[in-house]
Amino acid sequence: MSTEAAVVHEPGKAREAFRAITRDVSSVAEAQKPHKLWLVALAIAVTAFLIGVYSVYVLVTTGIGVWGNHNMVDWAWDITNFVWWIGIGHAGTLISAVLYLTRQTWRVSINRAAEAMTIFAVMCAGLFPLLHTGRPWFAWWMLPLPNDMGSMWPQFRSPLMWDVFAVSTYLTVSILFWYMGMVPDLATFRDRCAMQGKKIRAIIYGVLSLGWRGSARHWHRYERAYLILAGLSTPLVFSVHSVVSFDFATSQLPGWHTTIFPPYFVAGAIFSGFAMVLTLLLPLRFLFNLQHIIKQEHIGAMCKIMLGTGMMVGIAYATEFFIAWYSGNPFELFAFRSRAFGPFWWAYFAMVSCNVLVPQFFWVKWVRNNNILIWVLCILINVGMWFERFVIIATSLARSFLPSAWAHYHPTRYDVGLFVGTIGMFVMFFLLFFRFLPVIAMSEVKGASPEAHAGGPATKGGHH
Amino acid sequence: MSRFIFPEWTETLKKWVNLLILGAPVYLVALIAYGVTPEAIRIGYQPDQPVPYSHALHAGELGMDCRYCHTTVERAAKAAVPPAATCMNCHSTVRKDSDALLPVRTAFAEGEAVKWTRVHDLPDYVYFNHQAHVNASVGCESCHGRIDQMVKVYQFAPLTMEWCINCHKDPKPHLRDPANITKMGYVATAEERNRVFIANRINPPIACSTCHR
Amino acid sequence: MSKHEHEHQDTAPTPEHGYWKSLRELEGKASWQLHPHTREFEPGSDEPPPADPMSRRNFFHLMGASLGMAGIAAGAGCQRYEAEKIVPLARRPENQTPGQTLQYATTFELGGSAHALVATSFEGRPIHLDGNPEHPFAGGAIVPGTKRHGGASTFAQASILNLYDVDRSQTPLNRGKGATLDSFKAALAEIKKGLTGARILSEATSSPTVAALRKKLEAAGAQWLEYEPLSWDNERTGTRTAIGRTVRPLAKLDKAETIVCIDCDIFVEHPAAMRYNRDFARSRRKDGSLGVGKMNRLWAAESVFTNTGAMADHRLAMRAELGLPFALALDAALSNQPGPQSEWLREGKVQQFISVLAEELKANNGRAVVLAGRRQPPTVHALVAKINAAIGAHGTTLEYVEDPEPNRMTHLQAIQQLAADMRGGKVQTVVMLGGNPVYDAPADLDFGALLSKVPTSVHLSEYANETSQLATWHVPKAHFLEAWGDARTWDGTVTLAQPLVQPIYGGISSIEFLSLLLGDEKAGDELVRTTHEGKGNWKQLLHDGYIPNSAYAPAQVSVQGLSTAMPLTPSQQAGSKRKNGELEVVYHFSWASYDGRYSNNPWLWETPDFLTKVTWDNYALVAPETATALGVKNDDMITVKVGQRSITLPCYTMPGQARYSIGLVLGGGRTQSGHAGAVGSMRNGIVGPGWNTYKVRGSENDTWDIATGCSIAGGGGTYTLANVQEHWNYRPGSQKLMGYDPTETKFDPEVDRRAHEIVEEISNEDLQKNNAWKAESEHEFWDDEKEAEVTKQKARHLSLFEEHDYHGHRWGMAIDLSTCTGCNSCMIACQSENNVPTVGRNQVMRNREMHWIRIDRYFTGTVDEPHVVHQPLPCQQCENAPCEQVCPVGATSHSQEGLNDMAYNRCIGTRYCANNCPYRVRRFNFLDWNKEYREARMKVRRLLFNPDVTVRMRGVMEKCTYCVQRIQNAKIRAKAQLRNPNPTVAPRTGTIGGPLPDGEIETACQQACPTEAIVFGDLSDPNSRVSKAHADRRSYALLPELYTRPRTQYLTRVLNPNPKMPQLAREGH
Repeated sequence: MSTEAAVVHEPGKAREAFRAITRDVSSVAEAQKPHKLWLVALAIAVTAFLIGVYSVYVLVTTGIGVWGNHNMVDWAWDITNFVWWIGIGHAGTLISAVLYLTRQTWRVSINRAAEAMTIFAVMCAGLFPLLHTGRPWFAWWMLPLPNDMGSMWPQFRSPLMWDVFAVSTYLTVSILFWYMGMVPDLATFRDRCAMQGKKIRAIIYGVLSLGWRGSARHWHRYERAYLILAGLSTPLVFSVHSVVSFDFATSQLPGWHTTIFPPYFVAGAIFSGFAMVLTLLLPLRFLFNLQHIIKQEHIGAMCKIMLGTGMMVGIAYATEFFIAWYSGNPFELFAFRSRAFGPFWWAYFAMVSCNVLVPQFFWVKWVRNNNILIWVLCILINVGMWFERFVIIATSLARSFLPSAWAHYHPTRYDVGLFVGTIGMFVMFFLLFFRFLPVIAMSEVKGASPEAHAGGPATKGGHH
Repeated sequence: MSRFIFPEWTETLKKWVNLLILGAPVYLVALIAYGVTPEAIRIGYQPDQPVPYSHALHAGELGMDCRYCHTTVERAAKAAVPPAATCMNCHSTVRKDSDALLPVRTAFAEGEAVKWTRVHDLPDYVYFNHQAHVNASVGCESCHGRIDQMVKVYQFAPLTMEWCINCHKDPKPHLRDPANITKMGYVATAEERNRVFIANRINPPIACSTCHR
Repeated sequence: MSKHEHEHQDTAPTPEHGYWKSLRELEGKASWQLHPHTREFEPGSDEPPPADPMSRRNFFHLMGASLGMAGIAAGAGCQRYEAEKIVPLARRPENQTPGQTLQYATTFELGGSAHALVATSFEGRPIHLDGNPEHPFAGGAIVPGTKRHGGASTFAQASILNLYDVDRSQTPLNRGKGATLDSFKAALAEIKKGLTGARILSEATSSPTVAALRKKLEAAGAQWLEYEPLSWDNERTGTRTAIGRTVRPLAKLDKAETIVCIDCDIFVEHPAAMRYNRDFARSRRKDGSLGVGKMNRLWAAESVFTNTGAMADHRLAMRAELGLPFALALDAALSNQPGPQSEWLREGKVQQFISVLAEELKANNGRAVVLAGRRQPPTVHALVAKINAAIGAHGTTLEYVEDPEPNRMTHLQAIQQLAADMRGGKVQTVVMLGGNPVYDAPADLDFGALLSKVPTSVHLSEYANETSQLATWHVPKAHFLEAWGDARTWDGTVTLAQPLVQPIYGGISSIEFLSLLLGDEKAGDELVRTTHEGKGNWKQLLHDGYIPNSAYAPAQVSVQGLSTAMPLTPSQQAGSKRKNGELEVVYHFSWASYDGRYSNNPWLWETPDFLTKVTWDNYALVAPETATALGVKNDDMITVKVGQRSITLPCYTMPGQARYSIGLVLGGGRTQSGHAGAVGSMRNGIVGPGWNTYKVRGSENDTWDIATGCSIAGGGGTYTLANVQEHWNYRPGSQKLMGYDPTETKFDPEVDRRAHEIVEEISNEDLQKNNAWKAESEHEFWDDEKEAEVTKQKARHLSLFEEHDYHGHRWGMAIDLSTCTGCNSCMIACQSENNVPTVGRNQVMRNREMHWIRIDRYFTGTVDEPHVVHQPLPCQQCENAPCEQVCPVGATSHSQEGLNDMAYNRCIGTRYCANNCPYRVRRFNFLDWNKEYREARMKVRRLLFNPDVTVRMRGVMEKCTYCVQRIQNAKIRAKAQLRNPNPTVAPRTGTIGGPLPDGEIETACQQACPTEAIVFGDLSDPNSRVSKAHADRRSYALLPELYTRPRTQYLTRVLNPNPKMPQLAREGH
């Protein structure tokens, strides 16, 4: 494949470099025995996943009552987790699509992993709208299907309906995009397996790679399709979380009823998305020594993006307060006062410190070079972003219009169990992906690596 | 080098594969969708009854009015299956030792009720009211069919929500002069329908709470 | 009311909802299915209840509601439901139409006072209780010219739940062991022999039939004694000392311009409460019985905060023991003499209160009345009689009626004498009719020990309670809906009780029991009939439920005698007996279990207390200031020491509770209670909720009602009371930044601010003065009136969605906050009408109570002297409903008549609607609240369900829909009657399309409201009461700025403070 193309300019050296890339990346999937740490991680993830499965079982057989939600705080951890996961699912498409369109070549080292992460995150997110319903076995009534109830259709004025479409669209496109991008690399796997005489694997990979032969025509189509999908999914990056934010923005509740939500949510989503990408990639990069592919400057670039989005989120927080005061609406003002200083003040300050203060470290260069520190900060950011959603949802509900409806909220073990479960599921899928699929877009990395540009203009490998 | 690529002959499969991928789901959906419709399942439900009571005989041949037995149909939600006493009005003299009537006689004698099996069975969260419909001049036949021809009663209409709503949206075709309410096989003239429609100010509600409370 | 006919024995089966052919069969079933010691549903904590082996068939059948079928039928009707049986009667009783309800007048007696009721019966099963509008004492119209209306107390309404209670006693007990009725009858021969010298201890009863039988028994040599733990005998004794004759004072509140209550709750606790509510409303309404622009003024001096205090224009928090100096001072002030020496009376606040009050009483001579509570000693009642004479109340605002039994000893004396005789071994046989003396007799008597010494003791009781366990014989008593009987309302009107069902558990009524004791086994109806022979057409009397003109004769009292009869010791003159650091303890009735008898009634326990808003427990009321002084906090377990006895129970810090006065709520901690108790108290298995405060209630040197020289101590750990509204003392987060008052003498400023907007108030004075005043309406926020004038267009509204336009009916509701006394009747009525489930203490603590209408209580002012407002809050039925807009499946949608319909079977339970409801009136089935009713042993309980309302399954949202089932049925009936003249009902014209006659449809809450504060009707009819109410300038919508345009509007609460008194923190706008 593109190796041949590169040979034209630089015999030897380039070929070597490309081979190295191919070898390193493929070795992960081809290793006979999985890495010990990998096995440990998988074991933990699966356990967590099973906890989640149990929680779901109890939930569905017993009722929402096993959660802490009640008549005054009808949404809490369930929707918090939904929004959080959707947010995490953002970086993927952003990195693949937006950065691709803006020719940010450094993206290639991480886009594949990021896309995978997106899909798994959206899968986790998708669970919650389903499970938070009192009668999940009827959740399909939200789909516009023919029925024998005369005029009964879903109600399109409801933002929850918009969610259904926004999220499902996003998931579909993300999967297409991810799979499309993998085809050439799957072909590489296929070939290598064939060479090493692993028949079954070769066939599996063969089917998955849809008969890719790396011909110029293939590459041509591939590039076109990739471009189109990138174009398609770019608006989605912004639409999905905007729509999710409508759930709150269009409602009555002080603290929800806010026009700033769409941009604020999107920024937050990208913020948390990147944090999660790094949370996952840094250890794996170390584990499978991909240092020379996921280079330090790539990590640095992501830190900068988090710094930027983090400050956007900070501005959003500030604006909310300003507007609450400026609007002169006493309910609004109280909502935010009690948010910051009321019963859930700790959640609020967890959120502010994690999302606004923590990223500030990224101003410093040695922080951006200290991967352990980065990793810790990213974890904190993820925590912070979870609290952001919790603060918005739970604290607003706990202090609604009528003081008679003011109430406490305490989660139960099943709230926690389900959340842990989704994390387990997410990590589990990611680990499997990492083990069996090309975790790094080899072809693209090659295209983006200096060797490819030694001679002609900085185009991709396969030109003629 | 030997790499796995789809062999040449797979090309010929392409169109079949495509057809399958596109066609199969459509076919399945259509199949299931029809398979589960009440039309396919409920209409014609015809359970056995403890007493082989023939509407064809009583309502048909003998031409008894529905309201002779279903007395409350005009003033209550339920049309009410008659008490054994009603049967005995005649059957204390007519066919008074037929075995078929044994359950009725015992019921009457010992006050032990005859257990009929419900034919027209709506979900428990649906509140249907005979009084409302009969007084709005909707004929029995519209929902129950040609009872006068049923030796053993079966379900004539799908009794689905769609079916209800359709009539509530366009009741006219089912209206008739109150005098003909119980007539079987009666076809009201357009003029009659209009007259009734206007005279009775027919305006069926279609709010949820009309039937669900 | 449709036919009132006395109940036919062979009751119809219920094709849709019935589970057996007759109640006979049911009896059989019930008796072998009941395991008294199985626990009720276990929705505690987050523990998943065990998987339930319910067969799908029962499941559907019972739950009726939404259920799996909803979806299956809806999306893919891919199966037939299991075959249902139709089970017609062999012979249909006359007047019985399958599926239609009938109503019968009956009566229920509580503490010797009858409540006239109308019972709704569905195919032979009573399903709902209401007040009898026809009754001369309890019924009538508050607004002249409107439909007659009768309210019902929470106890009266909820008592229907006991009828179906599986824990009711079902077999006689002999020494605590199961026996049969026959074996008892056998033993009866022996008992009859000992009738001479036998003691008969009865609950207080006003039944003429009982009185008749009693005479026979006394003739046979038995001694008759009556005992009630909550007794009004102090009033009796006091009035006697003052007047010299045993007469009963009856206030005419509709004629009173000034009403003074000395430690007296006229709205709930008083035996005539229902009537007093109505009369109070009559004179309280603007342009009511007092004439245009006038309204009464209520003064209350009380220890425990009651609804009376909450309604009062001026309230003085006063230790109960100070009732005497208060009365003395008032009496003195009226006769311009120096008051008693008491430093409490020297407090500026108190002085002002008394002087201004005295002034007003003088001014309102003949238009004022003073009432004292049951706790106050006889002397106070005597003084009150004197004062009433002085202010010319006699004959105008107060009348005395002859007492039926002038020579009866007081309840306390009775029990004391009985105890003495038992101790002295004088008693061989004691027969107890109802009651539970072992539990509620004065602690010093140690009644239990004495009873177990008596050779023969028989206890007739609905429940096998503490007393039954110690009696040699226990006999199950029939519920009042199962038995013939009669009783007299507080004014003496004879009210008849007829059975609606056969005794489900084969109990016998007290009159049947007495006749059994007398050896002539007469049936109940015969006994009652003979008592009232020749009082008129029997059927008519039963239909009406009362005997006309049977009230007690008015008594001619000599006012002169009064002044002389004032035996007062100097020590009494001195005022407070309290030494420093000491406390007084007063015993208060329970809003839930009354005196303990409703311990097994979940409806009552889950209905929050009127002011504390606590459910499922009783507690000690402590003033916040006192609590701080003594170092105890809310929800602390405190030990209350009364003389030698002490009890440890939770402490509730109640604003407005008198300082250094502890209110001990009675009626908790039953040890022989049903499983409903288990739901409430998670402490120790099958025990009634709460704590047994009778343990410290002794009778030595009249500490029975008020005990002085008590003390409390904390340190018993904490116990969280299940409170549905705790925002007032809940100050989380930063005290400073949230603006909380560090001294905690003021309420949360935000709550205070909102309370002012949510519950509008204005003084009558301002209202009269300022004709331009109008309660704020959404138009102030949303209509551009100017533009409207210019463009001659309809004022512009700012709804995102197209607004509905309505033809035909437009249902609406108006709630008058001026006359709502916060008595909770509407809550129980709604619970009974709409099959609203109870959830138990643990779930209430998780804010999962299901009431469709709740009564919000807000404190304003200072914690020491709070101002309280009540606000009933059903679904507001918004025209621009936020809930409708967000439901993804359209399960809640707008009807053409403007209701927010809720289709339970369509709901998938996203709970988005509840989140978007600014009024928070939607209730979600977080767990399967009806689970227990699917157990075989609970079959009986299912009979109580209203078949016109679906029973909701878990996972669906539910809410108030203005009793839409009543609306629909009324409409159908109206239409039918026009075209199908029904011989039994006179045909009416003009009912189609046009509005139904105003008042034809009453919602359950409206029907139960004793003060007619709730008015429901058709807004499209400009002359309907509700239209007029909405047009009133006092009318306002809740949270108007949201432009939800609620169909439920509130009428501003009008207060009538005396200008000479310090004004309340806030009034009007």
